[in-house]
Amino acid sequence: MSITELCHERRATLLPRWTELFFAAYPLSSPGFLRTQPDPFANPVGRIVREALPVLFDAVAGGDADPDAVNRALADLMRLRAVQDMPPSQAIGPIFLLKTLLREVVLPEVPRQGSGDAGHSGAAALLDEYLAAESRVDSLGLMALDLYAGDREQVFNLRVEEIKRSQSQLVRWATLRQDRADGITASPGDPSAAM
Amino acid sequence: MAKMPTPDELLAATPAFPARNWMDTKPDFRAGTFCYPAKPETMAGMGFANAHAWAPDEEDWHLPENWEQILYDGLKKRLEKHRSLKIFLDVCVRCGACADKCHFFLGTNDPKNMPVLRAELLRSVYRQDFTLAGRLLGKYAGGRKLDKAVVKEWFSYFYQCSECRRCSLYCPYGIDTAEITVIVREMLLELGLGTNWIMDPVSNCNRTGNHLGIQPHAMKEIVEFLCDDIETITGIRIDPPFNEKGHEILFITPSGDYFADPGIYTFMGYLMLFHELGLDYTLSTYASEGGNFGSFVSFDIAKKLNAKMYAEAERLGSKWILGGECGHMWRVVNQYMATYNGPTPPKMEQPVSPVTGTVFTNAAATKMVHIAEFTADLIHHNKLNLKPERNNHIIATWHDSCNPARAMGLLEEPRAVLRAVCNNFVEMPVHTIREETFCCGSGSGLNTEEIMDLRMRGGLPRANALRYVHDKHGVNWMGCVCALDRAALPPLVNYWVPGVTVSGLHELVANALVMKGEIPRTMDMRQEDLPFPDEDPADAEASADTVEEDA
Amino acid sequence: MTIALGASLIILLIGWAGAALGLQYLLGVVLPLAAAVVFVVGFIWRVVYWAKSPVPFAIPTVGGQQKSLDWIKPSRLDAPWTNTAVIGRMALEILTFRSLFRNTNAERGTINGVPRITYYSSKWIWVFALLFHYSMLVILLRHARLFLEPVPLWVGVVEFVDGVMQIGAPRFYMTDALILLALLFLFARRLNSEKLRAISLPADWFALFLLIGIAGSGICMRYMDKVDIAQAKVFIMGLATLRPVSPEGLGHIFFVHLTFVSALLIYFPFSKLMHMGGVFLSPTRTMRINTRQERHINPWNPPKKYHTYAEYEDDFRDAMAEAGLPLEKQPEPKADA
Repeated sequence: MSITELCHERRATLLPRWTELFFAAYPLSSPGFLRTQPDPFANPVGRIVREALPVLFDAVAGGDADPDAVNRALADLMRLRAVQDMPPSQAIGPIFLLKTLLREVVLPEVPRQGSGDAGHSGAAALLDEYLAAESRVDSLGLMALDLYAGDREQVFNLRVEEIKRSQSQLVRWATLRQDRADGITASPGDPSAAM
Repeated sequence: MAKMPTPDELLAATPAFPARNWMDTKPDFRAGTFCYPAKPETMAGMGFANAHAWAPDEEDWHLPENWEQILYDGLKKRLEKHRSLKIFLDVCVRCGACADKCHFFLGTNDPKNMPVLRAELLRSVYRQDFTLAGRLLGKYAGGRKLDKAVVKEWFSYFYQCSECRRCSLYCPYGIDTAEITVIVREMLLELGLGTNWIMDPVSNCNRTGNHLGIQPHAMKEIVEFLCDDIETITGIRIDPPFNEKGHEILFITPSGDYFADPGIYTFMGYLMLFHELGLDYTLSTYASEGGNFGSFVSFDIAKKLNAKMYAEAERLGSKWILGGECGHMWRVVNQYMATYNGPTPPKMEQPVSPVTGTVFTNAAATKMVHIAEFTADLIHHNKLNLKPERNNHIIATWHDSCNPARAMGLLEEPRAVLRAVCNNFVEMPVHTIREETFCCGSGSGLNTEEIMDLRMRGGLPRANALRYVHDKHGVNWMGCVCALDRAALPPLVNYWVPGVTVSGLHELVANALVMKGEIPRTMDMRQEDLPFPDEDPADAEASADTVEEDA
Repeated sequence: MTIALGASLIILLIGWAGAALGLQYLLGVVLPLAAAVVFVVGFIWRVVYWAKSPVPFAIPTVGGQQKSLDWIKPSRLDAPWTNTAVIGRMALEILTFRSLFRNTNAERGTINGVPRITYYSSKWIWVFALLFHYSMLVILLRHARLFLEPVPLWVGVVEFVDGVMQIGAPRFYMTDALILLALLFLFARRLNSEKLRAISLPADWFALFLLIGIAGSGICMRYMDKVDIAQAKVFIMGLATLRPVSPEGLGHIFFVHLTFVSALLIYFPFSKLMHMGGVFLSPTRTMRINTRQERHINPWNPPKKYHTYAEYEDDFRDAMAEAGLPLEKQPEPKADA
């Protein structure tokens, strides 16, 4: 049995526990609101986490993962975590905790399954496969870091842009006054004047 | 050698719930979680006795010596003034129906953002000091001693309520958290605790008439820019009257519509509509702020700012007031204005549409009509020449702004207008619209940039519903009738659902409105190319000729 | 919760031990009469306390389309604009718990089209809240048999309907089971939901325990540790007419029941149970949604104080003149001009 198959076999154990780790950061955690409220509109935080993690889990397990789908799922998850008032380690950390779960649930199976299949060399090959799965967790972590940083940058951008928007006409007015004082005539209605 | 923590240890820092009773947890003030405090001079200028310098993230808030007395007296006085407060503090059974109705709770999962617990923050103090059970049994009756940590908690959580009143809709007793929030904010002001983004605009609105403190001449010039833009787009020059006496209608809109993107496009829409109708109206620089920042924090300040509307209508001899698209402005106009500052000046009359002759009986006392009602009536009577095809690139959805929805019931009027000016209209999921609408997450003076993170969390339920229709139906436009929404939704939408534009209703009306003598439109109100521009009449004739020849 | 449970057990103990120790007169006569007085006076006192404060502002929660243009259909009961319609809204609220009913969420698919189960728990709160309150009402009506002589016909009708299943002897009343079921649901809900646990105070548990105690002891009295109903009636008629008769011979369980009821009556006016009266006074539900049509009067409306136009023009007169804005008073010609 391959690691991918092993992971899929244990999916029902691993996925809920991993999900729990994501919810654990909230004051109201399991078995509370996030888990028990299945309405996607009444529980958006729960929805995002619950939709993203299966995709990410399957990507770690191996097999055919659509990179776009993985990226999208991770982006949704990070966009949420980035504004949830937690330090970056908290925001991204639960991704790495999948390793802990894999070591607990899947790793012990490696010698067992390996010896069953093709003796010692089978176990070694399976261990390689297992380590590759762990590396995929690392990749997810690194991708998440990029996304998280991007989201934080966007939040700060939004703050700047909001100020610009809220005073757009003032800046336009001030610029025009200044130009008049300097003897330059700006064409009226030039949108660049508002920038 | 120090041991590196394992990832599990690092992340286990958050205590599991419920580790402690909510009464024992203390608020946490880190940058990004609180609004900046109001400047002492602003507070003093508005007549607050205990104006002082302080910072939320410092341990000592420099409360006045007798802060406990001020709060005790403040609460006592307000209990005597508001039956609502007594009832709301006494009858809650903590059934929890409100808990997951609050967008701030849905976005943060912080227990104290459940409306019931938000109110308990005050209720616990009330029980301790004002009820028999609380006096006798203290914390066993749900009482709690007022200390400085409670004051900090109030500041934290009553400034995480956007007074949207969604919870009050679901409460079996109609407990209205907005009422409690305003009252607690009032009491905090008496301690000299206010926020900059509310008190600065309050002070500006009071003196200059608009929230940014723009002086009258600058305001006039800014409106002239917008008229330049209208000329660029339509070829028609509009010269709106300012502060002129003897016009039938005084038009008042939130000042965000004059100064801020994308409100200006909506404002241009108003001007174009009025011009096309030949409406007898005037703008005012004195009463140029429809929005009422005072209503977020104090009934008295709300009254003070609101008084300018009738005062100006009286001075200018206007018969009635037409109000622009705004949220809290309409909470105040619809539910408070007549009480605060009525009866209206003697020369004002029951509003009648000069175009259709419709009598607005529902505005008989305040003599103030919402522009969505006004325009919906025009469209119903077929008085506008509209080309909704110009908006064909838009798949619109409608965000019911909290106050027009839950303080007014303005639900069908804007939809009627939207359907007439835009061919593609999709509703968001059923429990997220109309009276059940979700807040933008930035209402009641929370749309300040320093708490952008919090706003992104608070607005998530709205964004989530929008994203559903965006993904499913390709919605790329969200209309609303609130200036705060127009300021607060663009960042929210950019973050959660990029690819959706936010605008006011009358921006879309302006796109579709065919004006007499206009040039063929190639640009929308934002001066972006229309994907389906009007045909140039010359070209149209030529192509018509070709068709005829072919025939 | 332990505090509330303890308090309820003490009440139970008082009832039982009191009866065993021969304090029947104290528990059976003095306590109930005192409790009745506290209840009536307390209830009135609390309602008067509320009513003493005015309703300064019209703050109805609008639950539907307003009445504006004549071609738009207004929502009569969710946004009532006449007194009759307000009565309708209140009737819906009080008889059918309209606002709690709103809690239902329809089933929807998600973006991926994966079906999800509906959010049912908030619908349950409506069902069980309604069940509890109506069972309570029926049981109270049935108890009228013990207070009225001759027994009015309607009491018989209520009893007949309640016992329509015709099970057992004495006839089994549905509401006895339903009220207990509803209370246990409300209890389990408070216990199970993390949200509810977070917001629950000792008072919330106490009210539940009291009511469970009352229903439980009442059921015991009827079906298990049977109390002579005829004697109970004689005794209660004595209380009701203020001519108490000797409670000798009534079982201990009767006194437990009576003590619980007395505790509830005493507790009622000082607790959240006053929502029974409060709901009729809640301004967000009882006011008409015609706030632009009719002016609501605030009895303490403070005098108008605002920045007047004259003050405003004084501040900006020169700039306004320069911009060509109309003025009430022209600026003074500049001295140096």
